[in-house]
Amino acid sequence: MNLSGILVVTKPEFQGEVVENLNALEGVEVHQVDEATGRIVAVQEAADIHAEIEGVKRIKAVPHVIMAEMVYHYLAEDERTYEGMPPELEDEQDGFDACVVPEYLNS
Amino acid sequence: MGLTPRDFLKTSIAGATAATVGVPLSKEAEAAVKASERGWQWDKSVCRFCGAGCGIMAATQGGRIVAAKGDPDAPVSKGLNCIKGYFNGKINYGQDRMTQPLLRMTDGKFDKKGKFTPISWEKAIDIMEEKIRWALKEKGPTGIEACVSPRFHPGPSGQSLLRVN
Repeated sequence: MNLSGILVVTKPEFQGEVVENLNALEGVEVHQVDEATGRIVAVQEAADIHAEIEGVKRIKAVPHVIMAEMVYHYLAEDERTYEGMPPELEDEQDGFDACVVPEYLNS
Repeated sequence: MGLTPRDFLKTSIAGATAATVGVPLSKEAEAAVKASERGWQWDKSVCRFCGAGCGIMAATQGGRIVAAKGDPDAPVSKGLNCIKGYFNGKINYGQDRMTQPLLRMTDGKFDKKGKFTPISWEKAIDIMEEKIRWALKEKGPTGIEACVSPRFHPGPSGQSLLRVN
């Protein structure tokens, strides 16, 4: 599971509408708004890194959004990330034995 | 009204995000950030994905990277990264991450059409030296080309290998 903090910028007059549209998106929650500057802080929950990136694109496409960028990424709950760690890195930090060669390099 | 641990975590992520970009923080968010980051260590780092060198902050807990954010003090990026930057933590753990040099070999010998095979750093550097010396002798300085990241240029190791003007 991926969790990210995303900064969304809109004009102050559209802030209410944008917040409503963001909250309607699956996995997106608006947490903070800065009324003076039109900035919005949203948190997005996505299944994996690809869904996370698609999610940011989806936010950028919301009407009246000037800019939407990730600011913070939390990966501690993305167990697949850690499971993918090469075994030689788990066991030893220096002086590895032969690393695993990905199949695609030799295909 | 009780908050679930996940709600609390999200409040804390929002708080950390707001603090990074200078959006005023609510007291609740500030407390959530403090509580969920207990036991984390934040360190400065530099994004490895391109030549710009944006500043990133990486949090570790128990020897693992658990979160990443932009470094507001970094003069290059001023607290923001592009989308690749936030995933620096993940490249540490990729299943196909290289941890040593590979050489195309057949039957234990270098072969341009051979398969990528792990070799020691010593052997890799010896082979590079041999090939560079050969090219320099046979073809002169224009016989050597370096295809590297933009950050190779000012690096001391790059400078001592190939003087770039």
